[in-house]
Amino acid sequence: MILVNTETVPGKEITAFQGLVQGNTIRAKHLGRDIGAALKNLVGGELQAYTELLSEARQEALDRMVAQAEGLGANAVVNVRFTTSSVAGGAAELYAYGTAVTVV
Amino acid sequence: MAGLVLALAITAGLVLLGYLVGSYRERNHLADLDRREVAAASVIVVDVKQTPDGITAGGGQLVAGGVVIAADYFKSFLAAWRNLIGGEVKTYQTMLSRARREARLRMIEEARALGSELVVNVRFEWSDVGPRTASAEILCYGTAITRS
Repeated sequence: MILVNTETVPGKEITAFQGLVQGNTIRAKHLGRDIGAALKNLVGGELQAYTELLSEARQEALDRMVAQAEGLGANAVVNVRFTTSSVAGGAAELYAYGTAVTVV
Repeated sequence: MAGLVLALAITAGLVLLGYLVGSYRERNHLADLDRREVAAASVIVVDVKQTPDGITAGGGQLVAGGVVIAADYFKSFLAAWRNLIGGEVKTYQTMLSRARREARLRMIEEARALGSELVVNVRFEWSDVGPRTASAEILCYGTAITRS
């Protein structure tokens, strides 16, 4: 599965459009992580637990989007976008979407 | 009265700790970014969608980099004062710029691992999975162009 955030796949030609595909995941911030973050807020620096959480969430959303594209028989997703939203205090959504296509 | 003095002493101590440790860590991070940006300079990063003329693209691959950076107590303290009088919050400005540079570098490092020297259509996104405390959370992504 080829994923790009451009409108075409460079060097390849789109022969069919399968339509919009999407994947999302909502992660809750557990208390332990918030306490760790509060301590880190004294001295600053990278919050590695959250960086990992962010990349896991990104991968999960992409995987779900790819599964949908595979179900439609696509071999690429173009124009992929990420967006985030706060559903409620303590929970955050990461949403990936794009257009499933067939390229040759 | 004694309680007030104690509270002030604790706050002053945390501000001092935040200033000393926080600015030491910030200096280290900036030096690290400078070093890695020199190494990453061979990769062209643009936010236009087209592959520049003269480069024959063989394919594209989504690459991304993310980071969550916390503010130190000194930064938060200054920002709280800044909130009273208004104006530019310089301490947070440096934190955000560090986070964007770090996310961009991680994306470039992913592109280089794929053997790509060009990333097009780069976007910065503010993500929101992190803590409720003051922090900068950046997701940078784009399409790494691979040669045929």
